[in-house]
Amino acid sequence: MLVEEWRFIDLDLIQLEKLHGIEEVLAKSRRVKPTILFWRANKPVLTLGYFARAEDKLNLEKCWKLSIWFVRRLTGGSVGPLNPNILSYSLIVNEDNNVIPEKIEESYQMICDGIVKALKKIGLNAYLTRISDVEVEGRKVSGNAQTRVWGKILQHGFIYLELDLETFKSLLNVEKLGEKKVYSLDERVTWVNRELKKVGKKPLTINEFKPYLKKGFEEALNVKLRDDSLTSLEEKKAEKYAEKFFMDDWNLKPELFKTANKRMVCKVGEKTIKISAFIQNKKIKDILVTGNFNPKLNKEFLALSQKLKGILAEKNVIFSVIDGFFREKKLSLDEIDVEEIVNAVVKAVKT
Amino acid sequence: MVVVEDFVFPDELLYTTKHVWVKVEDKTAIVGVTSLGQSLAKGIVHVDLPVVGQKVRRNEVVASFETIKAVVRIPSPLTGKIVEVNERLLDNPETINKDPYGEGWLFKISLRSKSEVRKLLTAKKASTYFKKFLKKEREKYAG
Repeated sequence: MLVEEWRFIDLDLIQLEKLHGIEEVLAKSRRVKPTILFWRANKPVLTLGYFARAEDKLNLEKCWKLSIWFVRRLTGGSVGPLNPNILSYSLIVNEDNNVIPEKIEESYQMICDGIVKALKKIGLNAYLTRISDVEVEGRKVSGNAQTRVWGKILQHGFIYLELDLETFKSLLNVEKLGEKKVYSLDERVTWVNRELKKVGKKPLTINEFKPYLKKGFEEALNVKLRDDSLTSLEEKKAEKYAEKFFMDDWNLKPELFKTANKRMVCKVGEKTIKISAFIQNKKIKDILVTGNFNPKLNKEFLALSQKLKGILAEKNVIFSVIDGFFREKKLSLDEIDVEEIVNAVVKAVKT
Repeated sequence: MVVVEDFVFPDELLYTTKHVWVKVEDKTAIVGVTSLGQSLAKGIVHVDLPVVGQKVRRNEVVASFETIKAVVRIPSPLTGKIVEVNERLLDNPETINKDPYGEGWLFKISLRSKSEVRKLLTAKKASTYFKKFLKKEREKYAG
């Protein structure tokens, strides 16, 4: 049987928002060959499932404090950590293709087998479980997620080479997720180099592990991966598609992302206020106000957004709500004053 | 009614190759996922529906659902304006699995023009397409 040739692009270090832009351009392309990307986030970041509520999953104040932000992905699932020590891949192929089955469970089985094969080659007893997780000795070492969109199958996943589990746990919303679930991560998760050490093998760098994973995919999918790079047109389009993933409404309030008809970024001295709003019949139907302030104030901006919802989009009404909010909270605003916040919101909703 | 393996394609509906069914009533179309489509996804746990009043184009992604392990996007089968969405699905997304042709409908579109309806497949044509589809799928998985 003829072996298909697929594109293989090693993006290496990349900002997560930009990576998602690349995935989207390839998934939307009508002519693109089946492609596998290898990549790793260029800084610690959290990846959030399409339907997951950030406030339920994460301790946002802590995220702001540690400057570890999150990006909503196109695929489902919960939340996971990414950083330069975690190797990730994205696979994009037409739904109507000759290799990957349409049925979701079967497609996971085939694609994840590439990861299982790679881990076995380096001496770990890996296996697929719960449809899309790869485990070693009962602990998850790789998670994978999939979507069917624009006529394509898009699957991405990660393999933990190293993991700072303590920091990840500290970013989770223990109150909502439950202590048991968060603290049991110690028993449920592991990483490649820890498992290699247990079996008396040397740890691997990302670059040492990559060829195993590439070979694993080639064998599991019975394809030949040909080294390639993005075209300049793909890069240009990807920048455009990446914009969404930088937006606070996409990441924090996706229901507003769908309806927002006003978006504005206001500079106030060295600080920035971002506003997304859905205005209808002179009313603020929905709004999200965010800023780059201290973690506590950033969190209060989310509560303020809720207060602004449903009011008339008029300066006196907006002033009354914002002024009342900060008075009630007894918050000291040393980085910005109420008038500046009001002016930013009014400018955004009235423009 | 046409049956392909375990999957039903009622005669009175029209279909796309993306596992979507359409029931055209005058200038409005009701849209849902076929029994084959929901079986490929299984266990739907979240649904994301379009907004009433939203203008949609044919083949534009307008709805999504999350199964236990994947997010599946639904392209609009026709061009028009969303006039109603099945909000019950937001609390009971599994209805799509249980009753794909009835209570599990997704949204209604007020059609801009009926000319695009001709591009949809009849139950007979859909069954021919999906017979081939299922055969190809089995071959793929068999390696």
